[in-house]
Amino acid sequence: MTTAVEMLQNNGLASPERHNSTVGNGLKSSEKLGNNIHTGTNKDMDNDSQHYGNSSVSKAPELPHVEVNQLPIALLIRNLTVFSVKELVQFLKTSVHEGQDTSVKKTSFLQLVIFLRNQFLKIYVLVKWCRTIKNNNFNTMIDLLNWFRGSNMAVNNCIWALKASLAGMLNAKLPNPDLVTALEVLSLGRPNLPTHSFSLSGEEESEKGPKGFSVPSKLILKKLRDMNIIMSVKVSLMELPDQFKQYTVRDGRLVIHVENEFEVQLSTTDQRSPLFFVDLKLLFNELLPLNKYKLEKVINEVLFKSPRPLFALYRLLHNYVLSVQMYILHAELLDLESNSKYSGGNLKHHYDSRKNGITLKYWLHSRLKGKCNAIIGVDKESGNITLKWNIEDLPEGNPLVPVRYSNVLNNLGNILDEIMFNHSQIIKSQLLSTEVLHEEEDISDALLFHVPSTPASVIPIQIKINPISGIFYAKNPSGLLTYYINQINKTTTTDDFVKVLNRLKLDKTISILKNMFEKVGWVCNNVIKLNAPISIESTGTQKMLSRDLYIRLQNWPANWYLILSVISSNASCALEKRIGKITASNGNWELKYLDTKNVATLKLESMTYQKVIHLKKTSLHSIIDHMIIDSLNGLHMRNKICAGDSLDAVPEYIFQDNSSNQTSVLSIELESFLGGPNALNNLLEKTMFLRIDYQENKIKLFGKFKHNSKMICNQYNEALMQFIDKDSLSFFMTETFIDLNNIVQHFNPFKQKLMQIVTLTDVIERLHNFYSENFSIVALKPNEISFKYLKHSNDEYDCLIHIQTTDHSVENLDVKLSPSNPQYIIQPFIESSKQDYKFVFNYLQFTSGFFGVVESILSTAGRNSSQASNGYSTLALQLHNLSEYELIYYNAEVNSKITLMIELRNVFLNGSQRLRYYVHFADDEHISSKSPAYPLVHRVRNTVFMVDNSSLVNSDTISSLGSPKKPKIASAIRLTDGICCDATDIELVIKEINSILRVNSI
Amino acid sequence: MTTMDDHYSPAYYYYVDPASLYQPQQPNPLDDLISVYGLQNISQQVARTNPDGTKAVKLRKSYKNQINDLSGKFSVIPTRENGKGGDIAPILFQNNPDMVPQVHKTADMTPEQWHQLMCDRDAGLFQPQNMDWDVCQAVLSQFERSHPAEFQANGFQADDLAFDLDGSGNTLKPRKRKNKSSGSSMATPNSDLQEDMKRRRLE
Repeated sequence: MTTAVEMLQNNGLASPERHNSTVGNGLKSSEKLGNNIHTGTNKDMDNDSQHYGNSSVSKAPELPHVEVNQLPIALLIRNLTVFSVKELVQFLKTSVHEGQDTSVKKTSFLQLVIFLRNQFLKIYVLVKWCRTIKNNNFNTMIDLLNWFRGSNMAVNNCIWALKASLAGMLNAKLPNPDLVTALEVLSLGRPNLPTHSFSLSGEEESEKGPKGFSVPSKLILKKLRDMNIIMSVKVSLMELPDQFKQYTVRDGRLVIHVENEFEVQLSTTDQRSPLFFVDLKLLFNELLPLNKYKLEKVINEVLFKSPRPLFALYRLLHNYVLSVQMYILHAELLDLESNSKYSGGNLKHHYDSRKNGITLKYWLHSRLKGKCNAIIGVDKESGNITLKWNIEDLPEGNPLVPVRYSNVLNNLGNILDEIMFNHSQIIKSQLLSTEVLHEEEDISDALLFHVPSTPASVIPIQIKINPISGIFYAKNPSGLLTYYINQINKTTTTDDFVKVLNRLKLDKTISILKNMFEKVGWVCNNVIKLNAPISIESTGTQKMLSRDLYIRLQNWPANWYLILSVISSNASCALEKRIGKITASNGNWELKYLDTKNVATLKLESMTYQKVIHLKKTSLHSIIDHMIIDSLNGLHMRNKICAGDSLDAVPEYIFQDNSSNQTSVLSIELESFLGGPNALNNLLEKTMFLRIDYQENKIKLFGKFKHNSKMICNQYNEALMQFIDKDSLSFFMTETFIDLNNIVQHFNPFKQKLMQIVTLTDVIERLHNFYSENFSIVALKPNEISFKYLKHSNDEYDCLIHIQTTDHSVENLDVKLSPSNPQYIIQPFIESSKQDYKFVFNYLQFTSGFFGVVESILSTAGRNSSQASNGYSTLALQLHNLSEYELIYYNAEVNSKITLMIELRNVFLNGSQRLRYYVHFADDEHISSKSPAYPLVHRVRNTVFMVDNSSLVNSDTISSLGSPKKPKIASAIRLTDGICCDATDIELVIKEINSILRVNSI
Repeated sequence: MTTMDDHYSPAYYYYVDPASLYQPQQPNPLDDLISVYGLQNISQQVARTNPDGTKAVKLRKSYKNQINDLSGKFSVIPTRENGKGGDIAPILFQNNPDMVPQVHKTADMTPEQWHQLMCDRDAGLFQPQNMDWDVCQAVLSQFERSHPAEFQANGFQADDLAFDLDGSGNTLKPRKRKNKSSGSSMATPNSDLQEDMKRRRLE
């Protein structure tokens, strides 16, 4: 809008005044305002301003004129007018269409008109404002403002350019000019120094010629004398440190001599002046170059400033000397480390110039690296350089070994030699105190270590310490020794050291033993590695070392080893001999079996080839023992090996037929051997013995009966077992073995046999109980028992029992009756019913009487029938089941049949249950009174079944009379319908009934 | 060697070319440029205070005062802030030359012809090709008699017309007098903004 204001000042062409009277007014007013009508170029404008301005203005420098955005007011008004007309036309064109809301149209028309009016209003106001400005030079103000802005910008740019150039000049620097000297040189042609052409001595006089300035020698001498006096007085008035007591005054100087450190010369100008530095000499090394210029500066400053100058000077120089000495030591050490015998990294030091100390490390490659060090520093008490040897292992209260060395300078090599020698001596004495190592008499610096060469002898090994490197070494070492020497040089403590040596000894021992065994034919297994050492003792104590050797013979059972545990301590070495079974499973070695009881311990020294060879023979036996034990354990059989003392407890009979020594004896618990049944516990002694004869390849199992079982002794089959002698209760069984590995297989026959014995004995015992009178065993085989039990038996045997066995137990007993046995009829029932053999025996026993009498009746009937074939009644026995039989009398002529039932019944008799025969006629058979059989039946009823009255009245008389027709039947109970009796009387009952029926049926 | 020296070290010590001359800046900013350029008068007019320390407001008549002599009744001053003033700058500075008709002077033109041409250059706006008077008539005839409430719905206020319908003249007059009596015209509600705008224009 700024420009618009200016526009108003410059009246342009008259624009058409058509619409707005306000604009017209504005124009008029502007015409009044400007006296002239301008056509609008800016140059004119400036000229105008000059016209209007006073005289000073005309001299004013020209300002750059601003022309941008400046338009004549006529153009402005024209622009606004044209815009307004176009807006109106536009509105009318868009509003011509019908349908639009007229009130909306009206509103927008009014708004447009008001908007346009407001714009003209603005122009009007502007014009009015401009009228108030006199002289119409407002544009000059604008130009001025513009110029100010431009100038301000230019200044800003300059500042930035300066800053940028400053940054660019950073690297360009000039030294501070020595303006004073420069001016001197400029004015004088030379620097104006205070000493210019000033000479003291007379000698220079001749050189310089007459031109030079000279001092007469008399004056010089006088001055010197004066100086001496002044110096003497001054020094005697000063406080002196103790070290400075040794001083002289000569040549105008004060010469102070401090022994082994330095000699300093000081002087002064007159009584009141301070002392100043003249010269300095280092007494311990005069060849050392000194920066005297710098020293002079420092010393003069000290002398000038300090309230006690000589004390300060001593402190300064003393420290200086110490530093120099320390540096010399540092240089000396550097030389020692790189060029002397310590080269190769055995010696190292660190020089700390700030703390003025050196830490020294030696034996860097040795096992004690880090522990071998020394410190060189200034001793606080004496103020001198001291070397302190830091040795930890120093035996307490040993004054012989020096630890502090004060005279270090020029003596360092010797001190180091001494320290290292002493250290090696300390180590040696420590090692000797363990008593593992011994001292050699001839060579003082060598240590001896005894290593076995054979079991009985040792050889010494020389071990020495290299005093330079601290490393142990041996002369002409073997590979093994080199390895262990390396190990030794890695240990840090004496205990470790001894341990390594013991390992060496153990290694050597084992290799000797291996060698011995292998030469004789043993095989050493190097592959086996168990998790823990076998020997229990060795694990307990730290000082013991143990290693296990696994050796075997080729023909030994697989996985079985003789385990030699070599236990080595500092002083001695022992061997433990065990038998064990080691198998590999899942990549690990496992100790499956270990003989923990019979551990033989021997001394290493006692090992000889004879022993090794002997072991070959004896070990096998114990191996087999243990193998059997292992197998037995595997089968869960409790067992114990009998050897040594326990061998005495073994009954003598076991060794009776022992021809050789090559046997081993084991005791086995019976019950666990059989694995369950305890039937034999009553029969046999609990313990059985197993004797293995390696020469004859035989296993014998010994047992003993508890008591003399009836009939047993002679009746057992030879094949089953053998008795030691005729009267003895002890027996044995023999098996021959071929392969030791499978020795357990031979237990099964033993077991079978034993089981058979059990069963046999059991059966026989029972049989004896049942058939006490007529019983006799006819034949005895391992599987069979044939025996007789019938009263009137003509047979070879009455019954045969076949024992069926499996491997482990008796499966079944087959009872077979002889075909001629009257009881043969029940054979199928026995077989089909699978009854317990005890029941079978009982049954046979119980019914033997009955079948016996039936047999006899039948046989007589048979005989008779052949005679009387013309109508004699026939007799038949039928078996319903095991408890019910039928005896049928049949008369073919009259076609009559009488059925006699014989039943076995359990009855209560006097409160207890007993088995009884019950004899009666069949119920379902109705015999009519007309039947010829009726009288017979009736008679039987009357005589046998009915209770005899007479006998009731006086049974004694009847019994005493002993009617032949009526034999006395003791157990018979007459029941009217039938009769009941026990096994002994059934014979009589049947015979009686038979006699009636038989006789009358004829 | 001399060329080398010339090359490396200039003949003058400071790195300022002695050949180039620098003149003091004109006009000298240390001078009183207001008086140099004869601007005392205008500066007095726009000064905040008179030389005697009293407030000077000669140029600072308010917008309202400037339009006070018009026959309208401006109850609300149209400004950019209240949305009724609109933006005049793009209208005044027509950057598009096609917006306004242009005429060109040819060599053979007489001053009278040129003057006539200049006078008639905008006459074309009212010619039929630009302005259809029938349409104007048609549109204006659509406008029927109106009453102020009719415009209320369309957001138009009759006050914006600034018609002095009741003949009371400009309501601002008495207030102006009041302001004068207090010695300042700044008390009007929107005079602060107005003043700022004025100052900006002057600068």
